[in-house]
Amino acid sequence: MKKFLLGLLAFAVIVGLSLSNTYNKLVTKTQNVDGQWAQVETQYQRRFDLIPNLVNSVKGAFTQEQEVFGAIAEARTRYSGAQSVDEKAQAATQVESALGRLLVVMENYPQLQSNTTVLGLMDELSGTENRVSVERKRFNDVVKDYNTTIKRFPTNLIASMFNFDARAFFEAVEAAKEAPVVDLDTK
Amino acid sequence: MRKFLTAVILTVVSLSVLTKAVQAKDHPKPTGFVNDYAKILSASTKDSLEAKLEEFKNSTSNEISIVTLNSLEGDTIENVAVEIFEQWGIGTKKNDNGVLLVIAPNERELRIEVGYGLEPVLTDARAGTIIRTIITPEFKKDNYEAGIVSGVNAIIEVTSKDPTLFDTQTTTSTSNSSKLDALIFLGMSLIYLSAFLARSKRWWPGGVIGVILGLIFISLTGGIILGLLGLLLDFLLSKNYKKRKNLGLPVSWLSSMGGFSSGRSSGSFGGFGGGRSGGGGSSGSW
Repeated sequence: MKKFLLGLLAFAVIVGLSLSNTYNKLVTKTQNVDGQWAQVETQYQRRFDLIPNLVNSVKGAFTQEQEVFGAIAEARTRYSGAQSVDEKAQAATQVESALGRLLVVMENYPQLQSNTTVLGLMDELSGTENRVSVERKRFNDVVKDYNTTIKRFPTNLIASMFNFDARAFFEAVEAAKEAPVVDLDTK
Repeated sequence: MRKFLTAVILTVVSLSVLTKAVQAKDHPKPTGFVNDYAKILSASTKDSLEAKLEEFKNSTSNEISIVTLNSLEGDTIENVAVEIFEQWGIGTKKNDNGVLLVIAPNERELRIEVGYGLEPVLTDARAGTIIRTIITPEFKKDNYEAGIVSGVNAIIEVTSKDPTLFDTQTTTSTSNSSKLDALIFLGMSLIYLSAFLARSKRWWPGGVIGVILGLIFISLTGGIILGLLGLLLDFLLSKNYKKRKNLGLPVSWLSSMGGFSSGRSSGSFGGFGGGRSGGGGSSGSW
């Protein structure tokens, strides 16, 4: 009888340990996802801060197409006003497309291509875009890791017990896949 | 009973093992600082670059690596550069001070990928300027060797001597350069001082200098603390000097301070320090 009770106790301890092990693992992975999202937002902010410099450097050279500046200003306002993660992600996409339009228009002004200040700013901007995409890729990697963990058996039992839900990947927005078209014949 | 327990333990242990899926392409391990897979460098240039980059690592701990690739295999050079950087871990783990120069001669693209720690110094704009003004003009004339060598020299200059060398805006560089000069002077004098301390077998000079410096710049307690640190530093340096001398390694003034020897064999490359990058740097094409 005593041996049986001891065995049961040992079994309970093992199960308890593995339960807490798994729970802690899920907590760590959730933190990884949140931490990595914060990295993505940091790069969004970096881009956000770079844009005014670029706009000021090229504004004088543009003879028409002034509406692209309006679109950028509006996108930036929307980004700074965004609160939730979803709102921020959407606003960031809007900033990206407005910026894309500006860059396309800039190609019509060859004198900007040799302006060293503009070139330096363009380097910074493309560096920031690259950082955004690197952090997004890493975000998707940790989300995948986390989602896989909570869905595999038997971790999924513990996950649903403690309300660990699947997280959404960062998907490429459909609009971003089309190159922005700028119509210069309107005015 | 025992068998049952063992079975339970084994089951629990094996259930907690999670297999990690490999997503990105596996790049070959580095064979040195210079990895010329596209074979565009002559053997002598490769050797001299390798020596230069090793010396640079020993004196500043910054790790610069060069990779030439036959093909990007449909991927962008930014992705490939980040992957290689991640897999090789260029730069020290603590400082993330690595730089990777990737060249794809068939796609005619190149990229300077900068680790987190060097981003403030080798900014995207500076990297872009190096690419545009130094490297691609040579590449356009098919002078790959000249372009790579002068590009590497430029990167070394910016990351160890004058960061503002390739600045396009003139506003902030003047006010920072005098502070930087003072720091560089202080750094150089510390290196020579340490080399001096290393050569003496006794270790109290380090302690004395530490006390004096501490008393001058801080206070009595600062003097005592710096004195103890000085003693420790001199002791370590003297030990290191002796060890390097016994191993037959160079003990010139500069290298006896840096390059704490790890006693590794001369043939194989030990790998990089585990540094990381976040996509900073600049790309170019020709």
